Amino acid sequence: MTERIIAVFLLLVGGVWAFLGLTEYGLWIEDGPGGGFIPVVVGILLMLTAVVVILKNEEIKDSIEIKAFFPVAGVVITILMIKFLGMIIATGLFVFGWLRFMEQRTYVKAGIIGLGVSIFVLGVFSLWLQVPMPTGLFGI
Amino acid sequence: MESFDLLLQGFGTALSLQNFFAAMFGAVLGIIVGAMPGLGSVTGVALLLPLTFGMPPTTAIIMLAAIYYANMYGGSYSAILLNIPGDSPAVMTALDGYPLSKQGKAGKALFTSNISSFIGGTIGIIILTFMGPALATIGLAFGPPEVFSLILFALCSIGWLLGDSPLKGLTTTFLGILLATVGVSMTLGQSRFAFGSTNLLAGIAFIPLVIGMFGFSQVMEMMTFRKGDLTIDKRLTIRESLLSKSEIKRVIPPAIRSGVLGTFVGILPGAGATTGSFMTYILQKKIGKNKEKMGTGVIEGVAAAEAGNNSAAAGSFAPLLSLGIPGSGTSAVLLGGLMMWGLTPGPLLVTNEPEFFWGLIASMYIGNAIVLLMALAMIPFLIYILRVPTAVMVPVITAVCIVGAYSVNNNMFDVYMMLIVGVIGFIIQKYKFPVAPLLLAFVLTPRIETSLRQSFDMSMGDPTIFFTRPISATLLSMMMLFFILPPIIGLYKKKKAETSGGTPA
Amino acid sequence: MFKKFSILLAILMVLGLVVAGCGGNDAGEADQSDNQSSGEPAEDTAWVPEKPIEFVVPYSAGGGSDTNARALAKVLTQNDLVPVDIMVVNKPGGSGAVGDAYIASKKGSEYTIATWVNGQQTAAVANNADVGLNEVTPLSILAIDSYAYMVSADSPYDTMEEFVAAAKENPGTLTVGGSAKGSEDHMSKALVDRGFDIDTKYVAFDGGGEVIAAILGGHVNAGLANPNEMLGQLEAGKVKVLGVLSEERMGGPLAEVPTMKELGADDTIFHQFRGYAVPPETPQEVIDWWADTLKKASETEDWKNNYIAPNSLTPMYLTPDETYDFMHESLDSQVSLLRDLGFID
Repeated sequence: MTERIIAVFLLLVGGVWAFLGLTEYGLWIEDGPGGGFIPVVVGILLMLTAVVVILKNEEIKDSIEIKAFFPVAGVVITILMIKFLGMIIATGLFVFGWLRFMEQRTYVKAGIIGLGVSIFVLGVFSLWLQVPMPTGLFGI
Repeated sequence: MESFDLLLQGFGTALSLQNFFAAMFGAVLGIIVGAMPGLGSVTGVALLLPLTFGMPPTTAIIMLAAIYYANMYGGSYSAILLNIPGDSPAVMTALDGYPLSKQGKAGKALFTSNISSFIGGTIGIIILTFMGPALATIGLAFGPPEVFSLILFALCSIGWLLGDSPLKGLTTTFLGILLATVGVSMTLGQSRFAFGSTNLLAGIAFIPLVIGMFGFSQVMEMMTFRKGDLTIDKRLTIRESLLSKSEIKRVIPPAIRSGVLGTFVGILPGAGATTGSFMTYILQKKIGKNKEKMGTGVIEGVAAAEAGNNSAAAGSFAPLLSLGIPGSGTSAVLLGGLMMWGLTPGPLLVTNEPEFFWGLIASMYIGNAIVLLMALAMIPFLIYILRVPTAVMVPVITAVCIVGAYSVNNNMFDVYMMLIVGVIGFIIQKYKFPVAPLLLAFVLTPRIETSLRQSFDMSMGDPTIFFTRPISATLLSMMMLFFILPPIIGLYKKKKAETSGGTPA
Repeated sequence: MFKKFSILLAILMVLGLVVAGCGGNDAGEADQSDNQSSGEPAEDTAWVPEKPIEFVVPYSAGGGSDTNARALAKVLTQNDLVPVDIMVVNKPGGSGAVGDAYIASKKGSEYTIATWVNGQQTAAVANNADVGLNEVTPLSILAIDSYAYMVSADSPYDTMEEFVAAAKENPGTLTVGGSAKGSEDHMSKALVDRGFDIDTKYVAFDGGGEVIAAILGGHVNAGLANPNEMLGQLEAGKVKVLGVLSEERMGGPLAEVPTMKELGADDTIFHQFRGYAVPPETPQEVIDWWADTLKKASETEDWKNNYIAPNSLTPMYLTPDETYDFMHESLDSQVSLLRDLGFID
């Protein structure tokens, strides 16, 4: 079932690309392929393969466990934290929180690893390689 | 033999204490920058360029060149250990490197990677030394129609990478092509598929795509691992990382072959190390021993990819040094450096500044050996990473994915992109849609689209331009030979077999 | 045996890291001494920066704007003109749109400065971006670049006249290479076409290096590039320069090359400026301080020798008011040019 949902999604992507390519970007402009040429050609090809996937409907018994989406929630929370705390604190705090509350590590162990991540990001990315990290309320 | 004498003098220059340490410093930094996801050689070289203004030009470029090729070594580490390619040329390394790691052979994968990087790099430098200017001139013959035919050849070759289901492989190839059309098109200046987003105007950045598809979807996958799936219980030693005699025999041929091909790809205008490793991996998949197992964790795959990207990095110095034309993003930055140091890059550089030119070439031999030693010495420390329990790996890798995606353009948008792409990558991989063809198609599409349009502009809309120019025509006929003939012959044979089977004696 | 080998390797590696560490320390110490020596305010204006300055580059590392920013940052700190650290921050994307939006978001900030060039302001108009020239505060222009119109050494055309004659004979068949469509190169090509009343076909490449490769490889009949991108080829006799799009003849190896105006084409001057802007609502005293500081920077030997000369640029200094007029005039004329080319409706 899920495989068919993926295929329908791809069918839509191909359709949107082919449609916009044809109507907005032009198939052939000034004696040459326009901005819509590849989107139209490949969009149609993608729609064709997606239809074949739907028709074949291979039954793949590989259920997706809900657990797999926990890191997604983690990243979303971290992104929100970055807005207030900056990249360096937010990433460390995420690692600490995950280890303490998801994996039941001790406060000390989780704290050390979280701090390690923060120091690594600060030291290697921010200070040494001079990547300008987003800062938060505390200015770091 | 004149160049041989000059090269010997170059060794004299390169072996001065100052230049030797410059190469060593560049090597260490390059490995680290390469291993950090999101940061590549362009960033590393651009960041350090201002630091080199006070140095003599020879020392400066020795250091920066060392960063560039050491970067190719470093990029493979995170690809092999964590399935997160540290830099775009390492994408192909992850295909076999990470499965090897999962089988408990991370040490061997790293060793193979380092040795093949060295072999590939050295072949590239040897070719550069003796044939550099000649090859750079050949590279000039590759105009838009030739580039188009070459890339079309490569794009069709993705078929070899497709994995279990050719249908699904084709599907993701097409998806990759479509994703690459997002953003302002260079040849027509149109903004496409941005849906009103300023960030999408620039197109989808490749590295966040890679970090999402490989790294983050891997993290999601790890959540479903049972205890001990990824933890290597027994201590890996350097002894176990060494390759056996028979394994070395398996590694050497693909490394040499890929070294030669990679160098040629690197010389072509605008190709660079990423395309180099793609091409060499594809070649290995088509003609190498063990080709059916490529992608499941064989050392030949790692060898082909790593030799390919290192030799291409060396090859891209040929147009830069002999013509003053940058062949990749990084060499464009180096070109800027040459001017800052008061040198005029161009065809006269070799004759006007022989000490600089040959000193650099010689330092590349020495630097490559230094990088190899450093890289080998790091293996015992690196495999220690694998002993970290999965439970701890999950949040730490997630944090690295976030920081890495951000660092590409210093933009949070790339983090959102990484997350979305990661989720999509995880779901489609569950249903056996391979992601490698998607990434390959994504990288090749802008070049094929650009050269297609340029060709039509050159010929005022006449499509015969692809068939009347000899190199382009040759490439296209080779393509026909490779892709169109085999199925027809197969069909013919099948029919023959049927008819002969139908009339028993 | 292996143990000894690995110990040896480890020692080598540690040695490498120590060297790396030393390199880092040296740089750090140099920075500190810079800060100390300029501890007292170098100017008599009221405002002096007290924390690190963010230098925004709306293009990726290694490009023309990035090189400009890093060179200026180095001149400013090493000549004690700025008493604090300057962080160069790349915000590439959308032909400058991502960086521009970032600059505008720093409204009223005293610690942000950004590079500002032609392409950035025209792209903002062409793409209907939220932030354009009107949304930032023009600060200064320190250098101007121009364009050279060239052909390969084995081209049949030795002069612009011959090229123009050939173009008139076969309208629309001669190809001219340059960087992306709608870019400065494309506008320059349009100016030349208009000035000589010829019709050539533009072939867009990904940057100056590829344009030169296409000229040398004979894939296009002519091409446009900044002087610094082609001087090496000129010295080696690989290209012939037919004309330049500057107001007056350029110096150095290009001194013999006539301007397009001399060749009889009016309105063919193309200035590609390398300027700077600060966010909207930046306090006046900050603008004054920058104007003063940038003037001093433009007068240093360091800037002239290490940036202007190697890049074959024309040095200049414009005050914020002059810059405002210059950028607006440039934008108006280039937008009308892009309108003629069909890039803006």
